Amino acid sequence: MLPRRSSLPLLALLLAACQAPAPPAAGLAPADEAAVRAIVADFVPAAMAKDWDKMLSLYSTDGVRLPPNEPVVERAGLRAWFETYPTMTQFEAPIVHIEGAGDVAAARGTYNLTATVAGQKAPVQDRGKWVSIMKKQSDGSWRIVADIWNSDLPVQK
Amino acid sequence: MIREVLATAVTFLLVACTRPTAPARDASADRAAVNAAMDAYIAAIRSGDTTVITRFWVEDAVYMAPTTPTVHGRAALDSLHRSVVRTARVTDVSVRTEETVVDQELAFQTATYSETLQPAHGAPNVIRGRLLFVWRRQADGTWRIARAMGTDATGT
Repeated sequence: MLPRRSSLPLLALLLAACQAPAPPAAGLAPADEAAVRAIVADFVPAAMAKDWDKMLSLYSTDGVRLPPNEPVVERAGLRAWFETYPTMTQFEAPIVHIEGAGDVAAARGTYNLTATVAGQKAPVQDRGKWVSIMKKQSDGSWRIVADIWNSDLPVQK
Repeated sequence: MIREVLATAVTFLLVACTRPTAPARDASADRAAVNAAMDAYIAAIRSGDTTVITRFWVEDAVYMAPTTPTVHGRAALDSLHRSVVRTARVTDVSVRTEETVVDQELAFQTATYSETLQPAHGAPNVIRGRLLFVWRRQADGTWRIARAMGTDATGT
């Protein structure tokens, strides 16, 4: 027979284990959410600095971009595509919401930027929204597998 | 007697504490289900029945179309659908899925689309572009649209 005194800590331990928070079924573990946020946090300064190596490191080996008015940019063409980036003098891309399940996350946010564009005298301003799909890789890191964005502003005629 | 009670209690707690793991799912079946949901959604758009169209979206859905502000929530989406149907008739819509990825309760899908809207007067308006849909599996196993963003793709 188990002494009663010794059984109580065991039960307490088991109860405590039951109460340990589990990751939400349809959500992300805090570490995964932090990793997703870190990608966006890295993206903005890298884009402003035209640090294409850093930018490329944020995408998976099969990552794609879905820009407006252009064909899909496959991973192999990402660097060349980034090299056409205008010089941004101001760029913000705050996250509005993140949700995830398993090893996939969908982050969405807004953007606001000012850029100097070749052939245009005045700086160009744009604002809009974006969605980025990220996937946990086999090494545990998170990478962008697809991102898309569009402008809130009317089409320039 | 105490031993039996404790053993039962410990067994109960161990069972209760066993964290549910995601059930093994058939990835190809999940992808097929998401693609079928997209087909059904397109059929609903062709039908022009806004009640059915809106039913494909989750309550906290977010729709992000180009050149317009973000639409939040199914009620606002329903108003949008009704206003579109009031002013124009969808005479043609097609979607070509490029990629569907499912992981547990979330799926994303990239596709190209083409839609022809015929207003009461004037020439039809053809819209062509690219889509990214985020689908969320519901408790009843069905897939509903949680996020959708479209772009123009006149250059493709």
